[in-house]
Amino acid sequence: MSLGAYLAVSAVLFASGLTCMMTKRHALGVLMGVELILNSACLNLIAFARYTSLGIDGQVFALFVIVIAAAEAAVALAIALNYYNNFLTVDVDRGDELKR
Amino acid sequence: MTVLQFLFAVFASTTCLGAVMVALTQNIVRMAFWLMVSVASAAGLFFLLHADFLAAAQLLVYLGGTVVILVFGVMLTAGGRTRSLSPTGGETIVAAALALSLIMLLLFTVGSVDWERLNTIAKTGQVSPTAAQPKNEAEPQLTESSPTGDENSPVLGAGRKGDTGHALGSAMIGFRPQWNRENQLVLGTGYLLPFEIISVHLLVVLIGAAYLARAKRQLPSSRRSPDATSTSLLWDQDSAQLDSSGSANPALSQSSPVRDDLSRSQNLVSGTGFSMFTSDPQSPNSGEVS
Amino acid sequence: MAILATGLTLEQFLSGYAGEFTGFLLAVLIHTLLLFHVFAVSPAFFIWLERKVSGRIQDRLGPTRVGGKFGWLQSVADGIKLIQKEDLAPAAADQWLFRLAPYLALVASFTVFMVLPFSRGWAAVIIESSVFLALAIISLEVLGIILAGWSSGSKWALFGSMREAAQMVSYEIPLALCALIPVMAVGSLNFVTIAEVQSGFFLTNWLIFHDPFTFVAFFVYFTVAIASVKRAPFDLAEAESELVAGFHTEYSGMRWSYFFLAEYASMLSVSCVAVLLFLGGWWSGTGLEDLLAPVRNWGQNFPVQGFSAGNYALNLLGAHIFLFKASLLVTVQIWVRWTLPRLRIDQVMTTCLKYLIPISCALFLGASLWPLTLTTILGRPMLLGRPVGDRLYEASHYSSSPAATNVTRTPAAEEVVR
Repeated sequence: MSLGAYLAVSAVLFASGLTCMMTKRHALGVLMGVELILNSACLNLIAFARYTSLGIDGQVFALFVIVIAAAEAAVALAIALNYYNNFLTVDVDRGDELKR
Repeated sequence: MTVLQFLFAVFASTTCLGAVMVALTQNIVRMAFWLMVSVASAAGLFFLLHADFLAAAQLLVYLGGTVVILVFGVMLTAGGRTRSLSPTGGETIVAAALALSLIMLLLFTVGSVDWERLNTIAKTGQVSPTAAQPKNEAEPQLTESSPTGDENSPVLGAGRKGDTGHALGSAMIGFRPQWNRENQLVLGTGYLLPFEIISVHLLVVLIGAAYLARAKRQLPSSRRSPDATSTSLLWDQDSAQLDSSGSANPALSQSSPVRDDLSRSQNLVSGTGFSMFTSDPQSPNSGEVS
Repeated sequence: MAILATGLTLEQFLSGYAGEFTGFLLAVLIHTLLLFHVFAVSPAFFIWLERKVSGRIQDRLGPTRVGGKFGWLQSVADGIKLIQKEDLAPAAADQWLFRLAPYLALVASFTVFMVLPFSRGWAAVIIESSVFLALAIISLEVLGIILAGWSSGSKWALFGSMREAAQMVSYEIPLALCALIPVMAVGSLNFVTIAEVQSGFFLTNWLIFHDPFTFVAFFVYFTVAIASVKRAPFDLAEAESELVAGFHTEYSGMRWSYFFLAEYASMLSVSCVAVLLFLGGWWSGTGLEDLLAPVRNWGQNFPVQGFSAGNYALNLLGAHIFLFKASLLVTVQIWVRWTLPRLRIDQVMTTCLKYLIPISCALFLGASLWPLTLTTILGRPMLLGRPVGDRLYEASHYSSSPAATNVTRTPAAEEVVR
């Protein structure tokens, strides 16, 4: 397999994740889009580590990305729970209190 | 078709299918399921890319941790009408157009860049005039090279293919031998400091998330709106004073769905134990403001 | 792919005869079939065992009639009964996820066996990070259970799966920490290396006797493992006295039995991990294998080219020892279940967060300081047995290259390897 094939998969992941972030109104759905995007970045880094002279550095960065993604999920879940406590919904479009 | 190509086709198609279905599905738990499919297949791709440790980390952290936490969050926030929040038709069309153009752009970029030439430039440090350079057999080829497992590997300390655990561990504690551009073995800068920072970061996240998500039993909704139903007699007096001093925001006291939600949430939070103190909407407190 | 009987991996062996792609598919098929037998037959045995053990503990006889003596066909009878039952899905359920969830749990608990070595080289997949991968896959079974509870559309099932999620996410931490202690003692994440290090005479070579901290770590690991396969006293997810049947309240027939199968298979897999990490893997600990070592050279190329009958026989002995030890641990799990009462959910979380995590952190710290302290005082890294480093040097031969000793390779397969 070549580098391009992995990059193409990663592109599909990225586009899906971005679409997910844009269209979903469920707070946790948006979070899933973020996870997809981070996953695509991970795949890119590892593919470059395998096929170019990037070497182990790509994998180290991918590991950091995974750790960051886990941390981000924990904080985002806490925020989503707070949001739900305040608005009794997880629809992100309803959080427009400051506009009024 | 070789074995690797077959496995790549399987994992790549399930990864893409899962990702696209996450974007298309509206039911949040089904989205979590598709995310699971996508992430697990991506772990399969990591195995194909000779990153065993990362594939296991992906399974452990993403699937065993993040997706479980997401589904857990869905269970905690499932309030009847929130199970599916569909976008409107216009949003769908705009999003589909954007997504398709983005994917076209990315695929076109991936297809048009000469990765081999870029790799050569990165390795030699100089831009060569010709794209198709004659390949030196000592150099790892673009389609063949591996961070581990062969003699020309830029990573030392790695054994067979995919055995990146030792190399990753050494890099994390600051020991990262590598080949430089002149094919000499040098001790590169490791990742000890980023590793320490990310450990502290994880600790901060642990405390922060616990702080954010903690149960707020005392003084529920003290900052939200002064006229909302309160949960204790003491707090009733406090908010009455606040109201009489005129510092309450009249905009917030407008009848709105948000406010209804707030009062309901307070009833939920306060629970049955405090319900005898909960004032009804006709209480003097809320009547004063409106 | 792993070495099954030959000096080569099975994949290489078959590729030599059938071509690369067909050889790969055949190897996958054979490994899957063999593992599926372990996966499907052992739960049948353990279900029968559970009935007998619980009967004896409660001063009963347990099943006695089905299949003649000891009721040994009881599990088969159970299976036939479950197949005949109607497969129901409640109207309030999310039908698609409801039907899918049992398979997710089943797949996750089956996949663990993929990385477990049953004897020297007898593993479907040998990779360097296999301990890490096994822990990762063990933590995946919870996903099927959460989805089952959510999609049932029943409050009992939802409560059960929420408890399961909270419990699993918490208990993963001490599980991983305790598994890291023997990993740290050996310095390898590979099951094969870790098991090879524990070979030879005497029991002191087992990692549980490596130092006081690994000794305690084994018991902490075993407690956490019981919790992670949601067995009593930690079976809050299906607490039948509180939540009708917990997460599988709405399931019936075969789909219910998949959860059952997954649970018993997970009991075996966490026990296998415990045996590999602490209890000497496939080594008897008596030095018997050292006496029998010359057998490995017997019957070279005996039935077919590239197959060594003596090597195979010794590996078979090792696999039996391994499965015997794992079954003993499963029996202890059954014993614990019928002896101890169920904890409350807050007690379960307290046990994990306030006791097991600090204890395992302290054990981890102690196990990392122990060899340094001992080397400073005594001049040798451990009290009992031979130093791990010596054994690791000998073992590296078996674990780093898949080929076993003194086995000739088939000429056809040799080409594939090149």
